[in-house]
Amino acid sequence: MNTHEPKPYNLKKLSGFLGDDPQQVIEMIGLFLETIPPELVLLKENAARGCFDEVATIAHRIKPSLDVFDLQQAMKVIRTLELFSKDDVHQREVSALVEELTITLEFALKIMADELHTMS
Amino acid sequence: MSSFKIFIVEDDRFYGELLKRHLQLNPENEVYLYLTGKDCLTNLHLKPDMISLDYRLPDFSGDSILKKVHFDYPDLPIVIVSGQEDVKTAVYLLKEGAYDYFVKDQDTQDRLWNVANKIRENKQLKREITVLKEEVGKKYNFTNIKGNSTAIKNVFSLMDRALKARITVSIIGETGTGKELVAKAIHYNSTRANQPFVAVNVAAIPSELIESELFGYEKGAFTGASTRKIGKFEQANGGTIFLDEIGEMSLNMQSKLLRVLQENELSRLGDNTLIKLDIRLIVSTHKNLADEVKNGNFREDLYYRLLGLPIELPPLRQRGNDIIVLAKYFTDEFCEANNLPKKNISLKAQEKLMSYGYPGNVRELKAVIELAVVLSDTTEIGPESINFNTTDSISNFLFNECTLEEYNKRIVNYFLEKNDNNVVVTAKKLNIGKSTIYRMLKNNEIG
Repeated sequence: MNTHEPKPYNLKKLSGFLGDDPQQVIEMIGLFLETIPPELVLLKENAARGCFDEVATIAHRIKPSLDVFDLQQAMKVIRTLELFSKDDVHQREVSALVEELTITLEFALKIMADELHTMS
Repeated sequence: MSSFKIFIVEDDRFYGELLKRHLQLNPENEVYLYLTGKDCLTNLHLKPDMISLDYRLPDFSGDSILKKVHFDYPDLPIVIVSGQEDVKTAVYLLKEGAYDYFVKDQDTQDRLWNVANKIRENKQLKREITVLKEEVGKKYNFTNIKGNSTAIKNVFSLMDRALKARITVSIIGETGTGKELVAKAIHYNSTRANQPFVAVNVAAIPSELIESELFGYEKGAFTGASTRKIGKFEQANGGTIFLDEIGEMSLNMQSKLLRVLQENELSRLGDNTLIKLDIRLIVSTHKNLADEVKNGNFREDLYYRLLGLPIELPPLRQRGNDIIVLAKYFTDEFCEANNLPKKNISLKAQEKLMSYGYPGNVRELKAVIELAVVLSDTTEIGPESINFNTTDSISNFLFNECTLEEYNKRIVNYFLEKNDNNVVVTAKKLNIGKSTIYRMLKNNEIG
């Protein structure tokens, strides 16, 4: 990542939740990095199987967590994904959206992991 | 300060942990995170004070958890935290008994924090109310009604019977004998102790207002009825209503009261909706209601309905040594309340206390003692500190139960003193011969 490029996430909201305690911020970033990747795997699997209800459920479940990091691009995709999973007309686009979400999030998670390494 | 237990039920482990840590910023909060509805239900034995519930869980929907929890814990506040804004669902859940409903957004942390604080404050207030109710109950314990005389023991025996059944109790006694104290003692020692006790002084409410005071009214029922008002009967529902000085109630109001007592239901003024009542009724009067019935001032049918278990409170002058028991109790109570050293009542002062008629009964004795404590400079209250200031001089005069001859001497003596020992003026005022007074003076019967 170009050092001048803005980060795709923001820790301000997370820090606010935790009373601006840096140690807790580090711990919660660690938890986020641990919990999101398996959810992305589940999303991909269910999208591939055409289990759109399950895709909508997972998207709905992780949406608030993504919002905490102000992951705006990912939030935009996940909102669309939530709607499209319930809509017969757009369901064929779900796999593409899941792919887009995965790429966006994996990129953000990588930067976040680097930052966590620096903070620790 | 005891901890405040909060359950967070949230299937997103990260978000749930975040809410948990946020609420734990208040050290009084003891927060538990559960990822499934099942885990929440199996841990209800931990007795949470509040549940923050995600509406969509993998195993249960929010409304089914809400119903299951409220089946066993109907008063447990459940806050629904939902991932999406859905007004219909929110209204439905609030109707089903959810404490609050809000959407996961940037304000979630503040809203959850505030709602937890509000529920904790409510819990503390409820605890305070319980403690206060217990204290009030203790205050009106039978043992706090002082006295060992046979007369007061009979009262205790009747009060005890009143506790065993929901019978109307009529308390008869002179002013200051403690009618309201007895009514409260019956209520706070009965099975209704945790329900309201509502006292109404019938004599103190203007006749044109009493109906609306007792039965309440709806907005617009009459000119000036700008809001709904709940009447005293409705306030007392489930508990006890004490109608003090029932003998002062107008005949018109008596018939309305009779109907309510017969039907056990009422409707507010300006509304036909019937409200069922479950009320223990206690009435009191200083009048002889039987005489009032004979004189046409009180309805006979209401009289018999109210009579129930009559408890007659003896006047203090008939309670013998209770005067001293009460005097000592009031002395200790007043000294303690005013941080004064403990005081005793001298034998002479006790004799003086025993020789008086107390037309104002226990209330008057209390006032006399409080003044005596203030006036006495030492730790012993002497007779000089005991001052009676009664307006009822006749009953006081007659209290000592003398012979007619002795009363005559007292009267003559009183008027002689009043007229500066002028025999002529005194004889003229009493319409007796001067020689009669001279004879009494000669025989040292007066003077």
